[in-house]
Amino acid sequence: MRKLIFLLVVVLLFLAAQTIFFYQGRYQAPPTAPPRLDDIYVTPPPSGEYSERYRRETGTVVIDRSHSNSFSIEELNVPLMRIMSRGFAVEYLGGNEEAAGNPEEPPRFVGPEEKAPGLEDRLRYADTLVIILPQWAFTEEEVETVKEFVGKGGKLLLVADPTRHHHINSIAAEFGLIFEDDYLYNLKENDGNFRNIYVNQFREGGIAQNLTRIALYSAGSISSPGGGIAFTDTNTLSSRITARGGLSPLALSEDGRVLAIFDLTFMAEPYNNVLDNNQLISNLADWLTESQRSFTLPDFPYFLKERPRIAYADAQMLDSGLRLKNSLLEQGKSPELEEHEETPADGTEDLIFIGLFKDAEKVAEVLERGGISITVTEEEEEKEAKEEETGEEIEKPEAAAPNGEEEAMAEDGEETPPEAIAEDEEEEKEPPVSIKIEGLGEVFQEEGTSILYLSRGKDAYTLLILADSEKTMETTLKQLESGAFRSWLVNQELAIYHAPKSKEPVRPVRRPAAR
Amino acid sequence: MKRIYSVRQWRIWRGLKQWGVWGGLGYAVLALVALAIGYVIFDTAIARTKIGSSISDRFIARPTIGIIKLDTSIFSFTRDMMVEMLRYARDSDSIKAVVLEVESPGGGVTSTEEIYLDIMRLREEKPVVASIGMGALSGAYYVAVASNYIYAKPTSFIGNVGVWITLPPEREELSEDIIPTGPFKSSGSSRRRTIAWQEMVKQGFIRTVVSGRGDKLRMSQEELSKAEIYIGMEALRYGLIDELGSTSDAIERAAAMAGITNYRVLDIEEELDLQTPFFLLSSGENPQDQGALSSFKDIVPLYYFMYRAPEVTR
Repeated sequence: MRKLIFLLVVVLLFLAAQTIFFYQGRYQAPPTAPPRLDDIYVTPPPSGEYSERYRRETGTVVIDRSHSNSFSIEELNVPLMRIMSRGFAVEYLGGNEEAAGNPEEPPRFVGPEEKAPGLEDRLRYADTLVIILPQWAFTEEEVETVKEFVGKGGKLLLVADPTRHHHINSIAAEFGLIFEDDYLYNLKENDGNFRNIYVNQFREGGIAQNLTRIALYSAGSISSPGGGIAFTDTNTLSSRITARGGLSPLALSEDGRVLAIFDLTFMAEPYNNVLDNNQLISNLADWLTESQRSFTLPDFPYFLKERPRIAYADAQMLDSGLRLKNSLLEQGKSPELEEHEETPADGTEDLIFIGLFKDAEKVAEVLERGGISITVTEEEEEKEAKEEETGEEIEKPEAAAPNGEEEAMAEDGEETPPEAIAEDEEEEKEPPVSIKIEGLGEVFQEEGTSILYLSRGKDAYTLLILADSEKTMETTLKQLESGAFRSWLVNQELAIYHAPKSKEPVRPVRRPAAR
Repeated sequence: MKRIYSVRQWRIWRGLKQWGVWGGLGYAVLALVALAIGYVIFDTAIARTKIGSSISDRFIARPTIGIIKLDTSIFSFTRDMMVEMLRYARDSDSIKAVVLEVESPGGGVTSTEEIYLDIMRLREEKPVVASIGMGALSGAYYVAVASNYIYAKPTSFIGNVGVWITLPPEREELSEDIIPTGPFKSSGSSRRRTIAWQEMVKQGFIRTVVSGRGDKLRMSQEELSKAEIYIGMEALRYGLIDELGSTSDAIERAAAMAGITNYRVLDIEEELDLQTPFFLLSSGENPQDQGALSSFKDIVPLYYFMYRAPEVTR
């Protein structure tokens, strides 16, 4: 019995030793509970009401798609509908229709070093140009064309997005606007993601009228000299710029004609319905369709309204008048043709006057505005008066035969070649018409001369087309229809055309447009 | 009536009484000496031999600290391995504490959450101490905050608290032959709502970190939501970890929390004979997951607690 007890004691001692050897405390589990997650929710911001009151006007918005622009037309559905409901037409300039929005697809028409075909032509009549996310830089020539367009009062909308590659600064910088290489974010208050920021500080009036708060989705900041329209708060930061607050994702150029927006997403469904985004889009449509565009002579025939009046000086010009009328009909105008009676003093309707230099006195008031005086010599006046009276062309006096051949032709009684007569007459006579232009002096006038002069009235334009003969008038109208007259510009209101003497086809020499 | 004892009984009684206190003390000293001898014999001879330890384990098992390694991206395969190891650690009587060695860029959200919840469950019974190696980013840090204590090296990468997401396609391709019964049958949700989910998941992540670190955290939620990466020294300053130290330090801490000494360390992965597939070691991603992801993510959004290096565009 004692041995049993002893053995038991030894074993117990052994186990006790083991316990003490291994265990010197106990684990006290701290109170643990996973965090509560069932009360986490994200509430989408409300939709704001917006005003869609507008005035219907006519005009054209041209959207550039010739620089491999990375957007799709569907993304612009909302603003396009608003623009069209205001009466404006929307046109797309160039580019591959299928490749729109797909930067990897090479366009069919232009390469990055080429000028977009039709840019200059489109801008002759467009009221607004929209450039969105161009992947190719604008060439120098294109930049000059766009600058000229804006200089005439045309409006330019530039849109980019930090989530897509673009070269918009190649055009934006020309107007003092720089799209920064950043994105804006707010970790404290946003629409479901730190890049979906709220903007609630605006410049009063204009594009920002009736805006309290908008939401932008991956927007960037635009640097401009005092041109910001919308401003971020101090909790909205830029990924690159260290300044807090006051960053502008919307900005206007100094002259107010170029608007820059650094987010595309807010214009598309469903983001347009958030807060005051719809109001901003309506304001944008209003701005795009309030045309301030003025026109110059190179913009013919786009400065004419729908029903211009064509006034021909007399019956001699009727055929030319008909020709011009038909040409304008093909351009979609509905001109009225009539013999000139009186030039409207205040220029309230578009007028095209066609006549010879002798008819210049009928439009002397208009010519005076341009500092142009046209004087026809007495002899020329008499000759033309007789021609009118008799209806026959008076033969010019025979010139001395310069060579035997022509003498022989004269002895035979056949008609002397008009070229020979003309050359001789030129050697001996003074020019029949004197054209003097203020600031330029007397224009060298030779046979085959015509002038085109555009005068701007209050709400209308008056275009004078004066030539020295019917034949020259015909040639001039051809130049006008083809656009070749732009090679003969003296300035933005005046062109002087000289018909070439040789029978070779005229190749207009491209000259920089006078400013 | 008085009880009559025998002479022998009386002598024993008298002897004991004579010895009295001295006898009791003697017996006590004897017991202690026996204890000490037993301790020394056990420590030096028995416990360190296989036979000895297996015999002694039959009486009082030698406490063990289990090592669980998270050294790959967290996807379904990793999750399954981790869950099995955590279950083993929880069920084993000899395992008294766990050290979690973390070296991972994170991974899928639901897989990460599963591991997190299992560690939280284990922690109710046994202490878990995390030891961060080269880095515990995103989901890996999510897992680490489930532990009682976090060690890291001075230059370990820690943090990147945030969520990646793949959105459903913008436009659904319609078919006349395969027809769903609702507009979100294939996508699961609109893109806008999916982004809202992402924000909720992110907030959940932040709350988990705040809850796990408690008063030790010295960083605002806004700062956390930037998803920045911090090195160990910084992480210590901001309370993202508890101490700078090695895995050995983590083991000692785990032992101290469990109240054990003279423990052994057991690599549970080796114990269970689990092997990390070679494709996980090289790419960090399970091709099965990739295959499943590539088809699954085409139709529903997927979330990732994962560090992704930025793409270089210039």
